[in-house]
Amino acid sequence: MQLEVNIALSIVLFVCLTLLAPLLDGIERKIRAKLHSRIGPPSILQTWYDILKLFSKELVLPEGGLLVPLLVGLLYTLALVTLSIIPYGVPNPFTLGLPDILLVLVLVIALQLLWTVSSLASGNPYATIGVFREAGLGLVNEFFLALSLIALALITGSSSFTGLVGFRLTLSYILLLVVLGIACYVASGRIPFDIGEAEPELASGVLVEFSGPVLGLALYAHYLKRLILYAILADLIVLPFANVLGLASIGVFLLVLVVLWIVFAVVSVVLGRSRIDLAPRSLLKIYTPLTIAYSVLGYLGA
Amino acid sequence: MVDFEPSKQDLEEVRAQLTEKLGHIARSVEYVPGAGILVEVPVKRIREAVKIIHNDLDAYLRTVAGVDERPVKGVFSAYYVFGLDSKHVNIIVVAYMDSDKPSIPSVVDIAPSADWYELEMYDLLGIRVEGRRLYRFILPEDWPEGLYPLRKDVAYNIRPEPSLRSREAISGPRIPVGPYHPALHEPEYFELYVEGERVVDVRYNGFHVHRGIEKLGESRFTYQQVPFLAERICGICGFVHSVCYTQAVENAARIDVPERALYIRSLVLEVERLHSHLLWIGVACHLLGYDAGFMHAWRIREKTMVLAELLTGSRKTYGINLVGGVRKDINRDKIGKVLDTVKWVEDEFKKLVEVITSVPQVVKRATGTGILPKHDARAYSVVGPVARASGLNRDVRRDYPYAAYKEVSFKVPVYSEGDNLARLLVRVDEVLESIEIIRQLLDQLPQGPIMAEELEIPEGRIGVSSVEAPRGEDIHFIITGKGRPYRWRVRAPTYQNIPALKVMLKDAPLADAPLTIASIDPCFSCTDRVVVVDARTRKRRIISLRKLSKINCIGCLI
Amino acid sequence: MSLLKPFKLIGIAHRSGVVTVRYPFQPPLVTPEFRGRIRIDASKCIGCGACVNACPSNALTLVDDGERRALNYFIGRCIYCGRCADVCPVGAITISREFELATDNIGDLNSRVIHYKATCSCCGEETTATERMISYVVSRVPVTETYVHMGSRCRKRRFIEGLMMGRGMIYGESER
Ligand code: SF4
Ligand code: SF4
Repeated sequence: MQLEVNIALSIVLFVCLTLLAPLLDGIERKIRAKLHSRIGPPSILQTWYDILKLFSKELVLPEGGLLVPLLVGLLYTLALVTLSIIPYGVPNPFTLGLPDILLVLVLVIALQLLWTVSSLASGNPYATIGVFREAGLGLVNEFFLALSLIALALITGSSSFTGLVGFRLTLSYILLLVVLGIACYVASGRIPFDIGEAEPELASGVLVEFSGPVLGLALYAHYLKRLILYAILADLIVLPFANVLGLASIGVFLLVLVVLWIVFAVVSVVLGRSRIDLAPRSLLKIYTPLTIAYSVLGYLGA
Repeated sequence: MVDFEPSKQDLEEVRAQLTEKLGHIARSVEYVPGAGILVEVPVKRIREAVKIIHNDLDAYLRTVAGVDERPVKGVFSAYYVFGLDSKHVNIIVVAYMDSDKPSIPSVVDIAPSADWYELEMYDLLGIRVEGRRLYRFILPEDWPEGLYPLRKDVAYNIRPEPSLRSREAISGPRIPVGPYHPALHEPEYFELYVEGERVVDVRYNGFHVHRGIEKLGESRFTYQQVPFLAERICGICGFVHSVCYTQAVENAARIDVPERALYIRSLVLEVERLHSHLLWIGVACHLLGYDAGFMHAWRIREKTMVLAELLTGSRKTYGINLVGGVRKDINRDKIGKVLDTVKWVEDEFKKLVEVITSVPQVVKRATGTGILPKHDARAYSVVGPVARASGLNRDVRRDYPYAAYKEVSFKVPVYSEGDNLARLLVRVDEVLESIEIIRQLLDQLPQGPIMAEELEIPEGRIGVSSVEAPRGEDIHFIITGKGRPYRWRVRAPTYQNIPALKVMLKDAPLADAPLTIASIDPCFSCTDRVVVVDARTRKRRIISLRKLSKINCIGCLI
Repeated sequence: MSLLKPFKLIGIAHRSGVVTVRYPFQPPLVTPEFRGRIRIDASKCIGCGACVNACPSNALTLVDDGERRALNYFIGRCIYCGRCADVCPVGAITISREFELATDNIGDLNSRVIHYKATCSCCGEETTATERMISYVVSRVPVTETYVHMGSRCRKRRFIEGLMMGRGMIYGESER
């Protein structure tokens, strides 16, 4: 009985989160407008309207032919699958007993990869430069993302999110959270790390060849990716308390998710875009000491 | 009060120097009020003259005007205008050429900035410049050979049948057109030759929107209509052109412009500088992905636009300037509004700059990029903030005072680093200086009429006038004619600065190119597109600076 | 703390509030000094063409057709400089603050004043002046001048005739 309720709840939450992603972007746009002293879009539904409008446009195939829409479709599906297996503040009933931390890690990296490959397929020179930039940055970022998630499994002694429930917070865990927070921020393609898009330099780089429904789907997948990354972060913050909070942890999870999104949005407004040779270097400078610190602390059991 | 005159002592000194050094070649050395010291040399000896003036006297090339003077003097002529900043005087070297087959030796190896002027003389007037490679530069590809539009026997409204010429063969694959229909805004473009993300060479291809404004002014407009045409040369700092034109005519005709009109001109010029620099700072932020800086810079700028409208009747292309004065007076009410606005702008701007310069990406990406060393800056005769950021202490407002600038005191910010940050800082400082200038002007504003009473413009006079535009020195050269200028030569600041981009872009990362190109604050339509050519594979990629072109100011290069 | 300095922007944004407006759902923000399209008062205009000569962009043109003369204003070319209003001798032109002039009907961009040309009191042909021009001249210079009602050809002829009838010696007529 308990399991059925959980499954039903998960499905409802999954649907809600899918719908929430563009809405969160809508909120972000309103906030960004506020920080720019603009009125901004008429309502927070604007991102949804944009996506719907894009879907109503005709399909123009870029040079890669059908390959591009197929890849973007795959990207979107993959994003949905990833979203369906992460915990929503409580362990996900679909992945009970599975090493889902590693599963999520693999899926997130696959998402990143597919994101770049689908734009590469168009053969557009802007996109190509954009992809190379993303790849260069991704090399550093995803390495640390993977490293931290694996370290997470080691520190908590479990390769499943379930293992986090009731975990007593340690200093190393908090440092690890910081690293993951930055890695998720970077992976979500926000300024200063949106060098693959770099509108004034590359005319939207990776996105340049997408239009109509393909663009709509790609953007949707992009928002889902953001949601997934921030949801993982929110999980890592909320799950240790899940046993105390009970079902309320779902609410806390959602709250943390929204707050994270907004905080990240504000950070991206007050910063400028980095450069392909600067970005990985400055990331390395932040990541390396933090990683060493949490490794040592984790080894010492602190 | 006529335009600024150099002091007698300076004049005598320069004249003595010129006679001593050029005595053996010069046919005549005379001082023409309102223009400068006119030195006539035989065409064969132009190289010697330029060498002495450019290298020994340390003057810089300001502009070159080719003129078809066949109807009046039976010759073609070329006027080389040099500026001698320290003595506040122009030296104009003129050489007359044969009317059938005009030709003149090239001086581009002596003064590199002569490059474009020589190409232009060849293209528009059919004057052969010997000793250098000549090619089609301004006219479109399909313009017929041997038809030189600036010659007096060619009508201004001629529409020749397109004649197809064999293009200069371009090696490598064709340039892809797209993806944003670049045809819509493709007035000019830079070809960046890159290896990976490093720029190895730059080629400029421009004048796609050359409108033949000079020809129009010389044939279809009248003296009092040209100011409105001149103002449309640039969509951002158009007023500098209308002032520069009217001053050139006033200088040539020795027209007494009332002082109040001069003050109003200066005032509006400074308001224009405010909006232009704020615009630039916003765009620079945008290029660096810092849209918040962009929005807030423009939020501040908006007040200066409204101010301009209040003072002139229009947000841009003010249209208040005429030969002899201005059309619109200001009253006490407006003075109060100006003071309030500049106070507000000053406060807000200081706060914003503090924030902008604290954004790590902005500082990091502007520091040490797009460097223009001082000696290159001098060789290319760059002007304006670009010159001042490279250690050249050059400002027309101080060196060749015009309008009311000799009545106010201000600092000329000079930085020696020559990078994008220096150019940013020069403009930031200038915004604050402009505000100070505006306050002084309003404080001292004299009473009186705003339009000269007598407006008699004799024919055949020469006038030269320069204005410090937000982008650098703008200079107009005029020979008066009947009812309209006989020759009107415009040289916008960007014309002088673009060739120096070659130095700034070389060996820089591709990602910095948009900022570096923007850092000379070109009229943005000029930088609309960048073509990237991979030097290893010889493949061309085109990068559109699409966004830039939205702030269009078509054809600042005339 | 320099890392946190960029966040000062939030304060700036907060203090300045929202500065954009919901144009076109809100009235445009133009100052009283703004120069928009011009309006020609057809009841005042005398068809002299002074504005046409001053107009830098040929937005104002005179079109002659036999006995009529039209002063045409084409907004598409107007640069809103207001020079025409400066020079009009009767103050027929006013500068309005209208600037939202886009239309899908080119007819909206053209407007004209039609004038009738005066006929010569002597030969009955059309003169180059409009009727209103002549009444304007007469009202400004109230001398009973017969010449003003004549075309230029008749005027010259009458002038010479007048000379010949005057006192003094005629050297003689040249042969035809
Ligand atoms: S406002 Fe200027 S452009 Fe328009 S009609 Fe009058 S003179 Fe011509
Ligand atoms: S009366 Fe005024 S409006 Fe009419 S033609 Fe003359 S100048 Fe133009």
